[in-house]
Amino acid sequence: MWPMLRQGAVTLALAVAVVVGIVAVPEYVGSDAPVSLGWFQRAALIFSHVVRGELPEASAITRTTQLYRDLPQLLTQSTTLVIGAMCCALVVALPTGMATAMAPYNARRRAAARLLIAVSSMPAIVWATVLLLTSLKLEISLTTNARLAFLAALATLVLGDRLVGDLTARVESATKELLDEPYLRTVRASGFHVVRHVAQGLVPPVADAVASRTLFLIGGAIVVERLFDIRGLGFRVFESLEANPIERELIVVCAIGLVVLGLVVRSVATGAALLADGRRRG
Amino acid sequence: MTPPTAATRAVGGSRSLIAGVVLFVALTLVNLLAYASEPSASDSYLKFAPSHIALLRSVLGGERVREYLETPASSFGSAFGGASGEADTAVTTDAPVYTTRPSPVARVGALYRYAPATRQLLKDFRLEMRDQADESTPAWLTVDPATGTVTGTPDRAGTFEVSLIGSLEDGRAAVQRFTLWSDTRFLLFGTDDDGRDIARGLFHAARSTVIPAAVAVIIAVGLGVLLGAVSGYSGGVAAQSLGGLTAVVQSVPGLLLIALAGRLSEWNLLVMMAAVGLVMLPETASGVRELVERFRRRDFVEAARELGMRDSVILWNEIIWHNGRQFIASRTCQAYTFAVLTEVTLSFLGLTDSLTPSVGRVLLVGRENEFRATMMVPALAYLLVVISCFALLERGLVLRWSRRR
Repeated sequence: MWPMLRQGAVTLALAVAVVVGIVAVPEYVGSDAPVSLGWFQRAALIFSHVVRGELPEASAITRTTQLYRDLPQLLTQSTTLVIGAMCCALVVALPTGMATAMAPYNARRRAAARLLIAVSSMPAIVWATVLLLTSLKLEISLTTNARLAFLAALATLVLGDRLVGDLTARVESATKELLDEPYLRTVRASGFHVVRHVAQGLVPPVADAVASRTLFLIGGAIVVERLFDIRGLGFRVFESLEANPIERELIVVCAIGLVVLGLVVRSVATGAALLADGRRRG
Repeated sequence: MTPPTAATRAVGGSRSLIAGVVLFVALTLVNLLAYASEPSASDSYLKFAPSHIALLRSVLGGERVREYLETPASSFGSAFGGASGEADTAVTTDAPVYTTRPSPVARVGALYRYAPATRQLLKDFRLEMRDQADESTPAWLTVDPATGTVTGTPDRAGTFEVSLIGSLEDGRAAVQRFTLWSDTRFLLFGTDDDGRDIARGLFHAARSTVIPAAVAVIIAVGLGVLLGAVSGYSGGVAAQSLGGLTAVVQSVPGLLLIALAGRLSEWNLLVMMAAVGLVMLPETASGVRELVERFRRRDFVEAARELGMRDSVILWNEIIWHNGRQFIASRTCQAYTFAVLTEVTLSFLGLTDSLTPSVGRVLLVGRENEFRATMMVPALAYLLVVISCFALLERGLVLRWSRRR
């Protein structure tokens, strides 16, 4: 656990340095204007309040206060999207991969797995465009809330789709390895169902796969939030980029928020792998 | 199904390679021609004109015909929705009288002809036509009162509202109303909201794909192979530096870094492509480093050293070329695909220079105009062609250089 926490702290520190460095450097290079640290002070103020868990005073800078108040909602939207996409991907990939590995000569199951991998390899922008175009052409008439829910579901599908292919391939190969284990061969020969044992044995490799794709997932979430107008951290970052002048403190806060989200997801996945695999715990 | 043999794998690889090379050369030529030619000017009176090709029109949409019946008390003005006072119109959509639809496009100087077929007998056909630009009534289109055949040769480009009206036995008027675009140009995909030819716009937008992506590939693969080879062969400080660079770049989502770099450079395409290359560099360098570390202690490397071969020759010729070219080819194709997709995604999200033609901008305009299929489908098709090109190249090169042939 400690190496994981240490690695997470290093990653967070690097992310802060990279984002602040990129945002800060162009302001100072080749500029005749006096050096301004206002945005950095505002960003630091927000973080200090987040760490202490208190609301800023009424006399604080308005934009900072507003961002601080919006932060929980932004974080909730992004987290919901990422968790939803992971769950969608797992719900599809786990049974497909397991079924294909358990019946390798079943042509239909093999074809289904290959189709999933091929579909998953399509870019998110293509799928998002096709889904939105299709939903409009079908003239699906929904109430405002239902339409928002529909768009959120589409967004989750598009983001989860990118994970599905990789997870399906991993689950398939991991299941084949597990089925070769002596104890599972014994279980099978005895006429018992192996699904429960296989599912338990799949937790470490699936968790590792999710942990390794976390950064990719967060990057995809940024794009999907923008495509489907979901007001999360990624959407806010793009709004800040488009503003003139750009809102540097918002970029720093939202980018770090995304990195923290990614670290939390990766930590949960790694923790689940540790709990499920006794060899790693030892 | 028989497993693939070395022979079938070789044939499959050759076909993929040839197809990939042909596509790549074609795309590069298109890109170069796009740089050489200038974007066309706007024709504002031809907004959202459909394709001249009927098949594309039926697939992408663009034929909008309205049919309805009018009672005898209605005036002619009601055909255009104007105030008639005593008009009593009824729209019937479940049993239209006309069984044919007119073509909505005509070429200036070429004969336009439409012969309607009807379910019921119609007589005393008449035509009403109005130019959308100046509300005038052109006279180049006429109708045969007996058969209802519409003919005419457009004398100028424009968008016209046409109503073909035939009388039923019971005195009611069966109206078929449609928009007719006449143009001097051949419109492959039609026009956009500014009247610009979509096909031509897509052609110019292609300049932001293959050639600028080469900048990202040179950084990601060229620099990545160099760094990875040196750090893998030398080890020590070089390897640690590479590890540090990888940790730094992979601490933040890549797309965020690229978007930041783009915005801070005022959406300079080359800077963004350089950022894409930088994001991909650690992965390439790490892969090459592992490859070199795996091979540098092999017997043939020791033998080459004993024979007096220089380290640089051993590294680049014996290790990288003979054992790593498959990986490098694969990474090159992946880097190209990633660079193109990133540029299209960022421009689709509106995060690039609006004056620079881009495939993503075409998609964005299509999205902003109620997801017009005429704009989005061709742009998506071009994007899929680009992705397929590099996928075929990758497969062909990997199979061709695979040791298990």
